[in-house]
Amino acid sequence: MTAKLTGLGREIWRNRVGYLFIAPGYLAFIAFMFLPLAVAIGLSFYKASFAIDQRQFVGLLQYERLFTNVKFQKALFNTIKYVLVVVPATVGLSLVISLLIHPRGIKAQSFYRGAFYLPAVAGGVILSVVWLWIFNPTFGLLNYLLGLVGIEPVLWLASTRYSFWAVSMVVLTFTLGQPIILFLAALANLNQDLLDASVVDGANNWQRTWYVTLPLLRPVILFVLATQTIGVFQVWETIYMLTEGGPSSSSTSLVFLIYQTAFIASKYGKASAIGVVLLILVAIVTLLQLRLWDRSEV
Amino acid sequence: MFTKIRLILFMAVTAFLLAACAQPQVVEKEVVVTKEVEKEVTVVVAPERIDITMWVFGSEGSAKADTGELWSDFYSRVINEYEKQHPGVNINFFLRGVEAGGTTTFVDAAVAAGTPPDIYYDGTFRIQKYAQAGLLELLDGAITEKDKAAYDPGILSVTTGPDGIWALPIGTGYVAYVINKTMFEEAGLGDLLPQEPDRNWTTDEFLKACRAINDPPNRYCTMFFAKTPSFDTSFNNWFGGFPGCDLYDKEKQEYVANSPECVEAMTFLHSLQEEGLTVPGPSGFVDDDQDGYWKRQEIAMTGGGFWYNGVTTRGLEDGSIKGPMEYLLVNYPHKPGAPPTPMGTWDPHAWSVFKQDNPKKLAVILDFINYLQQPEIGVQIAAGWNEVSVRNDALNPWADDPDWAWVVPVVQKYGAKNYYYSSGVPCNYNEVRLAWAEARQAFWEPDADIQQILDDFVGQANGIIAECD
Repeated sequence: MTAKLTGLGREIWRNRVGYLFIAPGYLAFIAFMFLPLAVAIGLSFYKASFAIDQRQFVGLLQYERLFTNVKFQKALFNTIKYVLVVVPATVGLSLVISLLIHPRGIKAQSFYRGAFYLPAVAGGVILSVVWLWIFNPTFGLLNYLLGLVGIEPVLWLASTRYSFWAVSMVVLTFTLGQPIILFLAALANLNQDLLDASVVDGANNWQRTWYVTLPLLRPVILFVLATQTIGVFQVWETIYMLTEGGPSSSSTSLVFLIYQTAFIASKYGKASAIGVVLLILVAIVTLLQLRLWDRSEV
Repeated sequence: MFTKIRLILFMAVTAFLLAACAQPQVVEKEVVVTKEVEKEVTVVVAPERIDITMWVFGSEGSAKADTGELWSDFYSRVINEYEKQHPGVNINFFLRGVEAGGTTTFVDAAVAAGTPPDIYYDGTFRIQKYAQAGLLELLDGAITEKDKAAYDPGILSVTTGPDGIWALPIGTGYVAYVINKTMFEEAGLGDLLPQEPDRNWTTDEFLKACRAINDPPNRYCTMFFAKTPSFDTSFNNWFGGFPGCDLYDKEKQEYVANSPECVEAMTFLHSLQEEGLTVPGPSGFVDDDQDGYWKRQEIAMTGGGFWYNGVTTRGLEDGSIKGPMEYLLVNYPHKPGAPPTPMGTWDPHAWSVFKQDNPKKLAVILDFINYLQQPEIGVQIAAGWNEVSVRNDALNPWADDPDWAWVVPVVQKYGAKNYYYSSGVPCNYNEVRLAWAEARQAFWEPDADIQQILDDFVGQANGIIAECD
């Protein structure tokens, strides 16, 4: 063991310049990711407010309370619902759009790529402000368009029935861009021989897409699925801008609940406990997806 | 060799960064004066430098509501004057705020980091939680007995705990109902509005005027907002027209908003939406949205009171309101047979001081607070928030304004009330307000079960205060 450690130490010393170069990155990771994570896990066992030095150890009490808390249950349910709605919609839509764009010329491809990626560049906050106007019940564009076909105005953001779907729709608009770029890149690098062979075998467009293109895209699809899932688990700014989680928590998410609990109610211990639950949830889902990914590469 | 140079460079950069992050130390200067003639050495110590950090809620570029002067310019003048009179005192002023549904993350973060400002000015509801956590100095020493006698005792009691004054109130605002008088007069409906001198009306009279002026979607009678807890006072004040309805019972130490009187009040309000008299979808709006509807003259009247003094005046000046537009402040309606509604108030804005280690510094801070609360400065601060000074010896700049001339006797006659503060402020106030915003959101749903919603809120709110230490 000691010999191993000595060996490791010698190895590090030998490569000290390299380690020195990667040190800033690791230090930043430790300072801004690892330490806050460790502190948050620790804090979840305390009753703590902004007066952090007055915190009181309560063991698992925060966790026990969470699972009987109606608001937490709603947020957990909504978060899972966001993932189940937005992620498949994003992956599916971006895939379809990419398949439609791919056969076009380079100029057209660049245009569409830019057009679809633009919302991702603009960011959730700016888009949400625009959507606030679009969703306005009295002068919003959406209700105006619905009115043209004789549909009564809808309270997109002010009704428990629609607010979740309104938020999902907005999230979808700026999550599409990145997968489209990835899918287009993957499509451009597909093995042309296999595609040509399928044509020689008499496969039509649909059969070629279904039996050749999609299986070849599987690793990219799984990668997009994993990154989108993690991203949607963390949906926050759109909810903050559009609905503040309401009405009656119908559009809230776990991350938004963390924000409310920590920064409005000043309950850092409770907020940390919610954060830990979210961490576990994301970890489980990501591990499952990674397993799928591993299989797809075999 | 190069490796060593790189290592040395890295260490130098690291050392530089660490040094840059270190707390600057204030060095006390000693001036040595030698009197050669007397062959004696006299050591004169320069006055101790006292650095005070002062934060006022607000963001860069925010201006006084009454004069439009930037708050930063106003406070610079006030601070410079004090510093001139007190050499060695250095006051570092910042506008720090950003409302986050009842709290300010700037101050919370600074407190959590152990670096709160020395002095903080904000709404009492945002300051109160720091007092409850035992983080504030008592300010009894900042005012003389003469000063104390000049304060409205009702308002001062709001910020006075068992041990003393935890925040020193400066101004408070009144939450009357505001009416676009021009709109009613142009429609030939001016006689439906409440009359002088008290400008009171019943809910029946309110409904009559409301139905007459309502012309959706171009013009709605009124508007509500429930997306966040912000300015919930403008909603809560409706309770005053339904005697017996209250949010919190100080004696029982519990929330009581599910009383039959409150259900009656809420049912009345809900009927306004069912009848199409309100802008649809209050749950999707915040108070700022209401400002827009008011400026575009798409609502005829609304809650919000003296806030709309500033909104209307500035709007007419900067052209964001296409005039002419004259407004009228009136009392909130009361149900027929009930006494007129007490005038609503929003929570007072107040000075607070975070705990100090250095008694000398604390003494200077208290002296500075005394300077700031003097009527001639206090009244300017209050007016900048569309508020009146809470000192009775202050000459309010709008004493000649007919609306102020109306409100003062009305307050004296029917009283003033804030549905959180008049009943005493229990702990975890921000969380209760969040729960109340949620209840109000549920309440605006078309098929809302009002009793159930209020029962749920009361259960939740009492659960929240049960978690207090």
